[in-house]
Formats: sequence, structure tokens, C-alpha cells
Amino acid sequence: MSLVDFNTPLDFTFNGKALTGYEGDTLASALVRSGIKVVSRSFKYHRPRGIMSAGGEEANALVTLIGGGTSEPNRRATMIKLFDGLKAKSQNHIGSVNFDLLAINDILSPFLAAGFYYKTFMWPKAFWEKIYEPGIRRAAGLGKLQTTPDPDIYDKGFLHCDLLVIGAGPSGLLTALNAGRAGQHVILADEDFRMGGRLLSEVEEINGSLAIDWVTETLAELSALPNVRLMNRTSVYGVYDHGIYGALETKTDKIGLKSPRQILWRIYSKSSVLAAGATERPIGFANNDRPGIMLAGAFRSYANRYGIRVDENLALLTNNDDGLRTQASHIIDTRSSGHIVDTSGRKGIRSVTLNSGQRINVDGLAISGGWNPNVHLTCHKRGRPKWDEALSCFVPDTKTLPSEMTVVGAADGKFSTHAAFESANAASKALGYKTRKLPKAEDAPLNVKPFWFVKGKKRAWVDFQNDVTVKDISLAHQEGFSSVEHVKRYTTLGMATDQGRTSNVVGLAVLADATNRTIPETGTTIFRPPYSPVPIGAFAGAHRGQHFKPIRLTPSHAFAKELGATFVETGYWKRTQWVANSGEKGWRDSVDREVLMTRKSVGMCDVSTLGKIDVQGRDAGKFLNKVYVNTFSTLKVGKCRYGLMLREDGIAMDDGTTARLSENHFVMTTTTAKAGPVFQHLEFCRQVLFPNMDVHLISTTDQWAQYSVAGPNARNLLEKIVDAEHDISNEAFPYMACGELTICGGTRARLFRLSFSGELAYEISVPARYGDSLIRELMTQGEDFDAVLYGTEALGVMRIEKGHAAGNELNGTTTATNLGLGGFVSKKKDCIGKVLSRRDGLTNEGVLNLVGFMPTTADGMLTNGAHFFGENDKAAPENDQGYMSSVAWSPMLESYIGLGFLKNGKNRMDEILTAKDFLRGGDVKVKVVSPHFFDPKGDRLRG
Amino acid sequence: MVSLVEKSALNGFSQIREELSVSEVTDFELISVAAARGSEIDFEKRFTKTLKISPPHPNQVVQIDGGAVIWTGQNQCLVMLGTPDVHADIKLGETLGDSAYAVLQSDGWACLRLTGGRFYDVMDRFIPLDLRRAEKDFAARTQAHHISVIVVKQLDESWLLLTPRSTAHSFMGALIQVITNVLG
Repeated sequence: MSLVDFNTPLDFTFNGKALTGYEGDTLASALVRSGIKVVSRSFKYHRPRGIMSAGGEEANALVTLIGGGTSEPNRRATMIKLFDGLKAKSQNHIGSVNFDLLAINDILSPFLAAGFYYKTFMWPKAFWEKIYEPGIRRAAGLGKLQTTPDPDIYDKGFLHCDLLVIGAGPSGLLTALNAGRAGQHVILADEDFRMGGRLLSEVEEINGSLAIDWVTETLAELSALPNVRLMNRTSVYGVYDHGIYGALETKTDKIGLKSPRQILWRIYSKSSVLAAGATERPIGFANNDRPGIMLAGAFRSYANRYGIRVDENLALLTNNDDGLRTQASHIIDTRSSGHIVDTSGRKGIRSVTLNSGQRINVDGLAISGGWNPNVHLTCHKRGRPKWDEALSCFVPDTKTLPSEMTVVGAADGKFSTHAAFESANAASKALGYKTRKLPKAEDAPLNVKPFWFVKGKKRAWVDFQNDVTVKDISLAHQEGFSSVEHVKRYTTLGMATDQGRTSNVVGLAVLADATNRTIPETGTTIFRPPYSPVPIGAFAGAHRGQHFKPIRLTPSHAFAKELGATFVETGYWKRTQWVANSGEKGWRDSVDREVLMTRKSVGMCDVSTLGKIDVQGRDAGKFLNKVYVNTFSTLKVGKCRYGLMLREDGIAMDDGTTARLSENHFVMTTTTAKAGPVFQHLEFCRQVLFPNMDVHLISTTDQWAQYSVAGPNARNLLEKIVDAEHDISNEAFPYMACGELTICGGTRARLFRLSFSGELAYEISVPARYGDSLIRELMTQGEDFDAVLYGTEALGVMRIEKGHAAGNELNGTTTATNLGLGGFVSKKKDCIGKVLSRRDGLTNEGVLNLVGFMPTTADGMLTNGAHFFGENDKAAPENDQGYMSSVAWSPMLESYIGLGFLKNGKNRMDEILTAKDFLRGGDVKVKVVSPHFFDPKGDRLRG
Repeated sequence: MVSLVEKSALNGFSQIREELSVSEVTDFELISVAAARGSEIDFEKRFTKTLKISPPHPNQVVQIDGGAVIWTGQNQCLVMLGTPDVHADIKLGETLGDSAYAVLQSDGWACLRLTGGRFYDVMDRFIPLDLRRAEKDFAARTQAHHISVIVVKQLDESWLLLTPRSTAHSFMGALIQVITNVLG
């Protein structure tokens, strides 16, 4: 009944050796067919290992896939669909897989027991960091990650359905069919590339025909239903709140293609049916890890599904009837008191030794220690499975299942095909779907009798992937670890890619035996997502490179780019930092020129990034009184006012100007960085604190393009574009005036007479559709004045020259008093943060005050972040006097200048201090000065 | 001095493919309308009188002559007008009087029209909502690739995606990447 297409050969290489498989093969089946027995070296002891399973539980056959100029480690060979040209190599060895130098670890195994690194390498102390740890790190790990960027494309997506069926074995297929026929939107997901589950691997009949025929017919009907989505190669790896499931769909195993290799799906489902089947478990006995020893079900998979002639001289060790399905020459049934005590054959099993002392020469050994229902997904929301004594396994506890989940088939301990169908129909009925006559299928009981491990002196493996043996678990118990969670961490039992699928219950049995408890008393570890490995690339999806995060562009971005501007990221925005002219040798040349030209004539800066919030309503003024420390209800129409906003705890939150365009209409500006948080804060205030106020808020940040026009010629320039009917003379449009007007022959605009630079300055805004055109027109009209476009650096220099606080000062620790704005806090009204801003610690005489600093020598250079100390004081925390928050080279003063916070600073003018930069090193003598370095009386801005 | 020239958020972007076409819509005005507190009944009357239809319910878009009205919040909606007029907010505000606050939003949003048989396959990778089973008058605000978006189903089975202007290029880039991922 092979499901492999022998007419389609596929060439591949393993460790450089050219081999051939067929369409329908996995890499594992192709290797088994090619007679490759040793496919890897074990994690710690570097023992030769072969393939032990045929599915996702594979613990041994981790390989590295090569392609696209890179490689991908730790892929399970059983989960790789063979393709033509596939290249893979074994991993975790020095030398070849057949001759591994690190196999010496196997000889040294008495010294490498669980937790050996906690107890050895203690002396000499200095060796740990320099020799031991690097050496252990080099030797540890399985495959090696590439350090080059992942060339693959990944994607993410969202799917919605009424029913998610996880697993496409007999119970999953029947449940999906019932739901699909009922018109439900169904997603059927299975991690295999072919749906059918164990029916693909067993020789059995359904309704009198081969089981595979029933699978084919069922899939054909499901495919024809438009409301059913079949997702093979899709592993549901996690169950989350509100019916959300994580799933990874593998499109291809080829590396470096231009299309997505894997897609991470977030599936929203009203209900789910877990039909994830069961995993066969091994039995622990000495040297049970040799190549050629496989789980019994895997032997049947390779024989029946992949059409591989399995070893004729095969031995079978089983403790249940299911194992007896395996065709074997020698059957050792533990229920008849026979068992294996040892094996021989380093690179492939040659013989087994029975407890009777009999030695049997074999070519392969199949083991069946019973089956574990795949309950992991039932536990992701704190569900705990319960022990079923009759089946000797954990089964889902219906009391602790995720509320929308039902479990069917082998995942629920219904191991026969008949029982699986029965449970599928029962679940379908419970979900309200009609069912049809149950397909006729085998109903053989498992008849399992627990047989977990053989006690002995030699090593018997429990966790093949992490090289954890029976002795390791016993040793952990001897050393005081009796909790299963502690044992897991001490021994690494059940970690890594297989997540203990084959080892978990056997490990519990060993621990239970050591602690003289039952398995249910011992308990299980908590299963958490992901159930199966998910590449980090899939979690990132398309969010890489240019798509890593959104970028916000202002309307003048294209124009600035044409001018050769350098951009800086401010939040998500890209802002012009400076615009270099030809001949300028560095950014300082450009910034100095931009400052000097603005102060001398006129400069323009794109301030569209400032948050703009439209505040309307009959209570808008009252509302602003609540959120700002100063009063806005009295602000006249046509006027702007600076405002400071506090957090509830009295710390400054943000500042900006607010303009009153009409009686009930204000336009607030915020800093660029705080636009989002301030809007959120205002909405909270509006909806929760002042729900009865008639206030409406809406962000207009993106709606308006806004430019600052600053410098002595600012008005002259604007008069060239503002339509003649609007008078913007100093008398008609004084400092802090605002209004709506038209420009360039009727274009709608707003004008605000504000100044951050300290110059005669305006901010002009137009609907963003005109933003690009306006900046070009301003620059054209400004040619008569040698107008410049200036960036955030020049903006920063000019605001420091004026002593204006910005982000460095509004840093989440400063108060209005610290900022020298204590007088702004209205005594006539209440506002958010007012009470707590008056706490003693925030208002004492010795609190930090914002002051200015200048170096005492002409060549003195200031750095922000430097801390202040008395001239003769030791630079120690107890002598700390404050810190420098912002510095700049002032081309106007031809000196470095700085703003900073100094204890009682306002009363310490002209004092000389040491500014010590602990981060960059060095210190400089500074003089305490007024923060208003330039035009302290503000004559220019009112000019 | 010259008259200022309008420029759309995405410079009139258009990508025509048989399976899915994307093109920027530029000839529209968008006005946010919110009822004044205490004037909700008056607002509904004036709104209905002005636009000949009741305000939309949550997650609903209602069609008006030459445009549509999209629900955006409690007693709040976006009025989309098919005729460009940068003063449309003022005019609508005057009609609604004291019952509502109207704010121009046309320039704050980029608008894309998507048409084609593979729309849903692409949106599965882009929009977290179940658009496949959306009602014929469905509209919702959500996000795609961390960028805000309003999805609006049109009567002709095409869809509009409205996204903030400043991040429109990132949005567009992400959408085109997804289309390439899905359609090749």
C-alpha cells in the first residue's frame, strides 16, 4: 500500500553522499531506504544515533538543511518532505558522523552525569570564565546557527472559522466531514504533508476496503466543500485565550526562495476539536539507543506508507497488543516476563540480550512501550491531564480543557480506529452537527501492561535528544530533586525540539519509582507553547528590513530628500536633521549655517510632526483648564497660549501651545514624541474623569502640514504668500496671535505667531495635500532673503539658546518647579497633577532648578549627561548637585552652552562648578548662568 | 507666486493585476462628525435631514449620494464625500449647526481601492478581521502591520482601505509585499 511514487525519483545528498528517494518520501524515509543507519551524534555523549520514529516526535535525527547560501540546523528528518536537490548533513560531531572525536565523552560518561557542570570545574576559580565555560559552550548544543541574515521569506496571517480540527487522522477527518457537511466553516490542520494520520501507516480496513481508500474519499469530499479549508504541513503549536490558536504552515523546506517558506497563522475559532493522535513511547534498558532501534509504529510506517523493506531479522519488544502489529522475527513481550537487558552494535544494532541470558542476533529492534495521547494542547491554558490506569497513560481531563475544546480519537485515549470514529461522532453531535453511519473499522484493545524500564548498572536512555538516562533521573532524586519540574531542569529531561514527547512519561515512571510514588502522584510538567518548534523568522514574519516598523513621513519629505537632507528618526517620524550645502565639511558646518541664516534672515522648519489635537465643545475651555496647569478658558479667540500638562503624580507630562480659533474650538499642539500619549491621556480624561463635559477630541496631526517660518524676515516672506486681504503686520497679528486665512490665491491655511527659536516667527499650516507645494513655494519666495531650510539640530541649538525645555528636560522626572515654570501653575483653579506637585520633596528649597551653564574657558566643551559637583568636592554620589540635560555649540555666542538641573540653581548664578562626564570621561569647569542665553528679553520675537 | 498644487498621499499609486488591483482614491473629502453632548437627538435629526440617511451603527457603512458614512465611534462617524472641496467640513458643520462638531480629515488619510478575486486570500495575511464573512455594509477600524486602517466594504464588492497619511508609504509597502507573497 505504499504511498510513495516510485516513478518520480528525487536526488538528494546527505553528508555529501549522493542518494535517491522518491516523491512522497520524507528525508528520514529516504535515508532509511538508502540504508543510512547513523544520522547524528547524541547531545552529550556523542553516541551514534539512527532514526527512531517517523513523525514529529523524532528525538535523534536532527539534521542541518543546506541551501540558498546558508543552512538551517536542528530540523527533524522525519518532518522534511524530500525534494529534488535537497542537501542535508548530520550535526554535533567533530570529524565525520561515523568517526566523531567527541565520542570520547562516551568513555568519560561516569564524569558527565546530570548536573556535572554544577559540581565540577570548581577549581581554580579563574578557569571557569576563561577556560571551562567557553569550552563547554563550544561543545554543547546540537546544530550551529548561521550568523548571516536568514535569506528566507516568512509571512503571517489570520484565519477565522467555526471549528478548528487539529489533526487529520480518522477522528479528525470524520469530525471535519461532519462539520463541513453541516455548513460550518472548518479548518482542518495536520502537521504531516499527507493527511490520514496512522491510517497511512497501518494495514487495516474501513468499510471493507483499505483504510487509505476511505482517507482518499473523505479528503475528496472535504476538498469539494467551499466552507472547509484543508491545511496540511500545518502544526498547531499553541492554544491561547478567546479561541485563538497559533499555527505554523510550512510551504516548502527549500531555503532561499522568493516566496514565503513558512506562514505563522493566528486562527480564531469558535470551537476546536483536538484530534492530535498519540505518540508511541520507548522502554528504558541498557544501550537502548543504538542505530537500528526504532519505535514499533515507525517500523510499520516505513514498511507500509513508504514501501521500505524493513529488516527481515527484526526483534520486537512490546508491552501491548498494538506492538504485535509489527512483523518481527523475534517477539519479546514483557507481559510474558521477557525483556531485553542489553544490546550490542555501536553503529547499528547487532544483537539483543534477554533477561534470560539469551542473546539473539538481530538487524533491527522495534520497541513499543505503549502510547501517550498528545495532550499538550489541552494544557496550554493551565489544563492538567489525568492518569488512566487501564491505558497506562495521561489522558485529557475534561474538567480542565480549554472551554471551547473537545478531544477525540487517540488524543483522548481512544486507540482503535472504531473508537476514534465513535468519539468523532460523539463530539460532532455535542457540537450540534448531524452524523452519519459510523464507518466500520477495527476495534482491537490495546491491552497494555506497564513496563517502563529495566534497572541495571549500564545506561538506559529515557530522553534520547538530551542524553538523559534512567541513572540521571535517579541521581537527581538522590541529590534532592523530587519535584518533576526540578528534575526536568536539573537533567534537561523533556526539553528542546521534541518537548519530551517520547521521554516524558517514561521519565515520570523512573522518578515515581525512585520516590516510591505512583505516576499520578509524581505529576507531569506543565506543557507550554510552542508544542512544536517555530522558527524565530516565522514569528518576525514580514516585519524585517523596511517593514520592521512603520515610518512616518511629513509632506515635505520628498522635497527635503531632493535637497540632500539628512534625516533622523523621531519616534516613527523621519525628520530633517540638517541639510548640507556643498563644501560643508561636517554636520556642524551645516547646522551653524542654518542657525546663523535663520537668526540673520529667515529659515523654515517642518513642524508637521508636532501632535495636533482638535478640541471642540461648549466645555472645551473648562476641559483644557483641567488638563493644563494654566488657564485656557480665558484665552481670547485669535490667540495662542503656552501650556504645561502634568501627570497625575505632579510630574511634567508634556508642553505645547494651544490656539483658540473660535469660542468652542481650540487647536492644541503637543511635542512630537508625546502626541500619542497625550491624546490617549486626554481621551481618558474626557471619557472617564469628565464624562459630562461637552468636549470632542480628534487628532489632526496628519491632516495639516505645518512649517515654522522664523527670523527677522519671516513676516516679509509670509507677506509674499498670504493673500492681500489678510493683515499680518505686528499690530494686526502680534506675538501669540492665530487665525484662519488664505494663501497663494485662496488656499485654506492657518497661521500661528509662535516662536520656539526666539525669533520673529510663525507657524503656517495648510491641508497636507498642499504641504509639498507650500514648502517649495516658501523656498522659492524666500530666495530674495537667502532663506534656508533648517532641521532638528538647528532647531535644538536655537531652543537651547533661548532656554526652552524640550524632551531632555521633560524627561519624566521633572516638575513645573524644576523647569522654572512653577509660576504657571494657576492658583485659581484645580488641574490634574496639581495636588501631588506640591509634595514637600518636590517643592523644597533644594530642589533642582533649570539653569544655564557655560564653560569657563573658550575651549571648554560641554557634554549632556555630565553631573555637577562643587569645585573642590569629590565626584561622589553624596556630592552630586545635578546634571546637564542639553548642550549645544552656539554659533551666536561662539561657545558651548548647556541647560541642566542644579540643586537650588536659581540662587546660584555665577557659581563655578565641575561638570563631570562619567560615561565619556573628562570634566570641565562651568559657570552657572541664566538659561536664557540669547535675547533674554524677547525683543526679537515681538519685533 | 503660483497657486499651490495638491498632492495625494501616495501620488496616485496604482497596481493593476488580474487577481487583485490596488489603486489610490484621490477624489474625496473626509469629514469627522461627532455629536455634541446633550444634542444627540438633534444631531440625528439634522444628520438625517442633511444626508438623507440615519447615522451608521457600529461597524457599518451607509451609502449617501456620491459617498458614504462610516461609523467610527459612539455618536461619531466619518462622512466621505466624492466631490473634492477643501471647505467641505465648514459647510457640513454649518448644516449640522450646534448639534455636532465637524473636522476636516481628508488630508489625514490615504485611501486605497482593492478589487479582484484574490482579495480575501491577500487580506488573510494582512487584516486580522474575518472579511470573508463580512456583511455587505461592513466597515471597521483595525490595524495591519502595526498601522491603523479602516476597512470599508463597497456595494460593488470592492473594498476601501483608509490609512493615516504619514504612514501610508509603509502601509503601501507592506500591502504590496503581502500581495507578492500571496500571488507571486
